[in-house]
Amino acid sequence: MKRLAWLGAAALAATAAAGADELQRNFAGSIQADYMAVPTEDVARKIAFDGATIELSMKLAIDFGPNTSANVKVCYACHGFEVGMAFFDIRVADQLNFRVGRFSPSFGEFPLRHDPANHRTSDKPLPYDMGRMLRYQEWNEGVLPAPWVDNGLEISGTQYFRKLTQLDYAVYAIMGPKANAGALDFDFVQSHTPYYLDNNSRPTVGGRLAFTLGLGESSTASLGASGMYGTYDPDNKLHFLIGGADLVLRLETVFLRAEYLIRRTQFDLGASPQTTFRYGPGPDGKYDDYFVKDGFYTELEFPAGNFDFVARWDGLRRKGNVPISSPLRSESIVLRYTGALTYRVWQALRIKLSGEFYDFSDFPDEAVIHLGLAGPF
Amino acid sequence: MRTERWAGVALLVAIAACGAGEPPGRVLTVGRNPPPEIVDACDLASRRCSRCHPLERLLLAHVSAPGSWVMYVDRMRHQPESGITEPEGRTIVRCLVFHSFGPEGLSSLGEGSP
Repeated sequence: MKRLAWLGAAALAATAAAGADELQRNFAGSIQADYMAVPTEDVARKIAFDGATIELSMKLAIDFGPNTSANVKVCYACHGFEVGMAFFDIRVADQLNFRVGRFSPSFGEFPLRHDPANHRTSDKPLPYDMGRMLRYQEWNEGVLPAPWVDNGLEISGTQYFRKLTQLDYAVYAIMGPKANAGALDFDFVQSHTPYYLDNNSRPTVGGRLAFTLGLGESSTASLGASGMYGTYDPDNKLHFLIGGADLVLRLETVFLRAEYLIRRTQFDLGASPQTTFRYGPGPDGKYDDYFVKDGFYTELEFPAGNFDFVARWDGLRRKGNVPISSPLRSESIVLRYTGALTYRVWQALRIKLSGEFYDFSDFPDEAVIHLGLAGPF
Repeated sequence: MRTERWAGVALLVAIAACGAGEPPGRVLTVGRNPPPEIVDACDLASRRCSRCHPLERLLLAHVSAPGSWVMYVDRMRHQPESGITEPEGRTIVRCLVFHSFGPEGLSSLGEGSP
């Protein structure tokens, strides 16, 4: 660890020596304006954030020199203004990069392209949903909402082998998700609103390993695995573990992606679980103090001239006891089928159109139509 | 039902065929009459950069000097799983400098530089 610290200090010193005249500032941003209609509901607001939404991001990147940069990003969406990035990158070598500040830790493949201008559908895959899915309250969103933004330190790097073949790694320590004492699940609102402080004096740790195999000049197959572990309550009693696996097959300009996420979340049984939970104890007379939520998506994306087409199938499942007031059961499932297209109007400005069909195990099935405009600037 | 499914597949193939044949990096060189070296460099840029974002984002980057592309690409190269090696980064810089500043920009990068 001391050696790493010295390497970082050396990189900073080298950057300082490069001189202030190398300072470069780049501004970039993106906007997505989307309208979500739920034709199967009279008043869809009861089960979703339907209607018009805006997602704006504005990023300033500063290159201090060849080895050090800073990124500050402000986002405006359903939550109002938030800081999506505020970090320094210190690059010692391809194999060693330090990221310090507020950032999205490396987990899975989708978060790499979470910006609405960088992915083709209007919404996110269900495992990464951040409140745009139907019945988001009952499901408490996805497995790990994206972008997950947190304060901490990440060490990452890439080892290149022969052409297009590479091994990427990342390890990090962050504040982690939050909830009040006695919680039954993450409180995502509390996790992204002030105070931006660790609620339990313990870091959440995680990592990611991804191997990419080159297939010819511009085709690749990538396999990744991610994990995150920590406690989320103020008393450090409630543990969680998130695991993920992803596969991306790129054949020239055609992408086939598949991801799977699973989260085991411990909850507080309280003094009288028989009055809190719908289901009684197991055969051993004890209540389980955890639930498991997992989800997947698989999608095919291919361009055709100014069009891009996406066919996506995704789903969520929750297994475990539920509060008495929850409409979910001990095992609930939602599957979603999406067909989407984008049309490039000008440069990277795209019209997005998609249709979705929700197949719920505990609620009536629903249909959704998205129409949006997205692009960078 | 089977006929409808095959008709759908045929339609998708036809649509895909409509977009085939155009060099992927053309969006970065259109109207510039690039030399073959730059055409190849921009094809590489299109393949690598489009992994994470639409290629057209490059057209919107606010870069004030040829040398700025060097640091810009290096920062992008170090994004997680970018898939851009150091030599490829140098090649991509040549494409972007040509796009932004033309042949004069390339000469200002100097011999042996990216």
